Amino acid sequence: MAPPEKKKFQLSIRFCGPKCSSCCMVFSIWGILMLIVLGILFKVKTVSLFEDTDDSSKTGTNCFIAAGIYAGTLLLSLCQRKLNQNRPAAPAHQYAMDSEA
Amino acid sequence: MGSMFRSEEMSLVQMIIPTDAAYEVVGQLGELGIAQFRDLNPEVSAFQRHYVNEVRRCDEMERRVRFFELQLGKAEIPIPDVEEVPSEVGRSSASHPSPQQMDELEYKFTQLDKELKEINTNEEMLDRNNLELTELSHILRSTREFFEEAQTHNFDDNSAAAPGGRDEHASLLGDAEAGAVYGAHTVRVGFVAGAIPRERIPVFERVLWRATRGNAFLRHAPVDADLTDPTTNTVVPKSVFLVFFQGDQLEARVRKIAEGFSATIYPCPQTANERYDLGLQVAQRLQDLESVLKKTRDHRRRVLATVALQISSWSIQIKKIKGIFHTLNMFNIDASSKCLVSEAWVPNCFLPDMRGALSRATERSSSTIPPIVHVLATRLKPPTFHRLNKFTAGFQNIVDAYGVASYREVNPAPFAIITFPFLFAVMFGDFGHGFLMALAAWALIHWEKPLARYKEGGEIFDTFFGGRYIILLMGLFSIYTGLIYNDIFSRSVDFFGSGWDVPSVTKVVVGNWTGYSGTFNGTFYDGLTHNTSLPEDLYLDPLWNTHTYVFGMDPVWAMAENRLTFLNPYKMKMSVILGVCQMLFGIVLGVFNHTYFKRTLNIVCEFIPQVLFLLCIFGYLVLMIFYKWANFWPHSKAPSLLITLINMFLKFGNIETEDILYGAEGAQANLQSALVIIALMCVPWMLIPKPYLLIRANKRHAHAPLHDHDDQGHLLGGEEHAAPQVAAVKAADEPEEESHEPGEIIVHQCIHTIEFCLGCISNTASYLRLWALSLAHAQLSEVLWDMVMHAGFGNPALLFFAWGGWAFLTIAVLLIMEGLSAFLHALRLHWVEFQNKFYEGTGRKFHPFSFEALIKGQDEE
Repeated sequence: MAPPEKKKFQLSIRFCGPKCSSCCMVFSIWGILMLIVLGILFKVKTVSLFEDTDDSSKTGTNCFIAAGIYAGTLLLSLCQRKLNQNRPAAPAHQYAMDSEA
Repeated sequence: MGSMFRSEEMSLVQMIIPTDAAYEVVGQLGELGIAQFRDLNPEVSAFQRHYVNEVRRCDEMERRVRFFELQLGKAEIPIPDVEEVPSEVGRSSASHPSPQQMDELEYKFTQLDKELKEINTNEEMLDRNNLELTELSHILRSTREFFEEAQTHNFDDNSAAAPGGRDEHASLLGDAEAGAVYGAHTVRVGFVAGAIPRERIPVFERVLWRATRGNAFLRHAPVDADLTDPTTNTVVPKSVFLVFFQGDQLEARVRKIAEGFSATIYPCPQTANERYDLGLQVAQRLQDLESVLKKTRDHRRRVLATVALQISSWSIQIKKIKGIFHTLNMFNIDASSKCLVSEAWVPNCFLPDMRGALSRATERSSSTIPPIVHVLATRLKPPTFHRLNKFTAGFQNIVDAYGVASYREVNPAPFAIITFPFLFAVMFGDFGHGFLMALAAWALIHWEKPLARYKEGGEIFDTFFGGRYIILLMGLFSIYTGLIYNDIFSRSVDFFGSGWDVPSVTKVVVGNWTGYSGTFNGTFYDGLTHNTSLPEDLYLDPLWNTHTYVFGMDPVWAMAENRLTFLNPYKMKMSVILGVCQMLFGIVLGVFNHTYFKRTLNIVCEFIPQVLFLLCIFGYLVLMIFYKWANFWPHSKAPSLLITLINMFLKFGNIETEDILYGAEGAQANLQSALVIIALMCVPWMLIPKPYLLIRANKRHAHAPLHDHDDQGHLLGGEEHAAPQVAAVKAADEPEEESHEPGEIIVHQCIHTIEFCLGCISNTASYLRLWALSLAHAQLSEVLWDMVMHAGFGNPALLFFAWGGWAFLTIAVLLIMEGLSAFLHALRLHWVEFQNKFYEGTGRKFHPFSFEALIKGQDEE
């Protein structure tokens, strides 16, 4: 009885397909990079971003925290990718092998 | 030489090939894909051609391959790609099969087809047996259940009052059993057992009731097992039934009705013991059948698995054979039917390859006579062929979508490689967006090989993938223009220090306090950051400018209230300059056509007045734009260039004081008058001399009948012409006269002239789309930032979602939607504004007979 339960558990963990997880990964990487850069720019009080904030130091910190959240989603999407890769592939050559045996 | 500037030179080649070598010759040429064969017997229908039997055989083989594919699909066996198949199986697909191989293949197919069909009939028969036995076993089981149930009810009959109708049935059943088994002295009660599709039961019951006047009794029970119909391969829910009746007449009637309802009737023994024995037998037979069925299925699967490995290469081979015979059908058969005569367009650069292929074919077919090849002189227009690689192919596609270049005409594609992405980028200028676009294109290029095999992407993905090098260049150019506009996701960056020194009188707001900021010495921004405030109503005055910003827009404009008042005229003027330059370039390219085709008349009567017309009006406008940029009107309103240009015509010879741009009053007026006179003189220059000269030349032609003979444009083929005409190929390039009627020539020239003059004005205005789209793009990305990103800066969780939304909208709206719109506008500027200055685009594309194209094009057919 144990193996089917385990399988069901694994299925429920993998909630993103291969395309979805890759897409989330790309967006997460972009989010981390861009929010870190934005955070630094707010910290050094770049003039172009003046219209966006009253307290640039606090906004800079907010950017870093949001980048942290995206680091979390990056980890999540990497896990999903891994699960997708480990998933047994469709039995593409199974029949051919059977016939040779 | 692989130049894209003009299409390759073509020759019409006549080949006289011995019949036994013809197949091999066409095969070799098909491998190379360098020759476009002409159909020499277009009047012959497809059924009357020489090789129609071979084509029919190929069709038959294709049908067989489709049948195998269907079988594979039914058995759910995947078909591997040709590349995945081990080499010793797939090797035969590397070169075209010989006629002997075709026979072998055909034999193999017949055998396989027979074997598969045999297996299938066997399997179907076994399946049918299996179905019947299963049904029988179910019937036996339910019969037993009926009678057992009936017996118990019979015993209970007297003691307990069971619910009415059912009770009656039960007692009747009991009687039936009694009658059937023991009833020597009662009337014989018989029964018929069978299986029937479940949904027919109610109707069946009603019909039975009517036909026997209520003298038959039906019991039925659903079969819970899935019974598959072997012919249709679908699961049919079934019920087993028992019909009880009295007498033989009724039996016959019941049987007939059951047959009419396509029920299967099974002989069911009367006694319980016999039924039990039969049950055992059926179980035994079912078991045997099961093992036989399993073996049959295994056998079938083995056969199909070997088919699956080879089927891709088979279908490629058949395509090749069929292509060869189709081509052979285009050939002329010599009267003695010893040789075939064919004509093909071959690019001159491939002629040596062609000769090599012919000698190889002679060797392979062990023919004693080599094919005879000679180049024909012809007045037929050759097809257009550009030698391309994967980078230039995308740009050539853009041009070909408008019209394939006429033979040896100047090709706009090599210029589009630079101008197309550049004009796109003028409209799409943003460093961030350009960077993302270039990154996406880089990804497509980097994973080029795996993506080329990816087939599930659909048409949209294929379009993007096909244009990956165009997208890359568009992205890179957008990075460049984005830096010039100083836009990175609509924000500016100060790399080199602003060139503006805003004086201290600027009003600033700090919290609730409104006052005047301190001095900003040299660096404008330090003061601002210090005050954490913005100067409201910052109207930049040119007087505050200390030096020019090193590259592109000064970042200070991002904060100025009069930003758009500065940016819009700047971009508008830029658009006009770019437009006039591109149109002038187009007209100049026309000269290369005129000199190449020796149309001296066109240079004098079209090119020179066209250039003068454009330069006198819009060239002058461009000069005025530069002059106005270079100069500075500190205390008065600068003259409007557009009004000046209009007044140049409306107030000919005079000038308003506010229009004065340079020099003394008289100087500008005189120069402008002179320009207007030159431009207006260009109109009759374009209109009159060319038709006049053409008509005169035609009249002279009419007196010389020799020339008329040449003008027919017919093929100078045949034996007696062949030898001396190799040198005459050059003459075939001469243009055919478009029309000879004087009226037509005049009307044509009128349309041409009017089109050009009006076109100059409307096309210049059309280039203003560069400014309009660039403005729209910049404003849209700024609105997106202000509405979405700005809302999230106060709170990290909110920022997480705000950035996600912003990133999604940036991709969907700014990159894809805006990108497509800018792409279409750039396309239009090239097709209409640029190409109509010189490009005919009336050619036809070179379609060589090539196996590669045959195999690739399998989906298109």
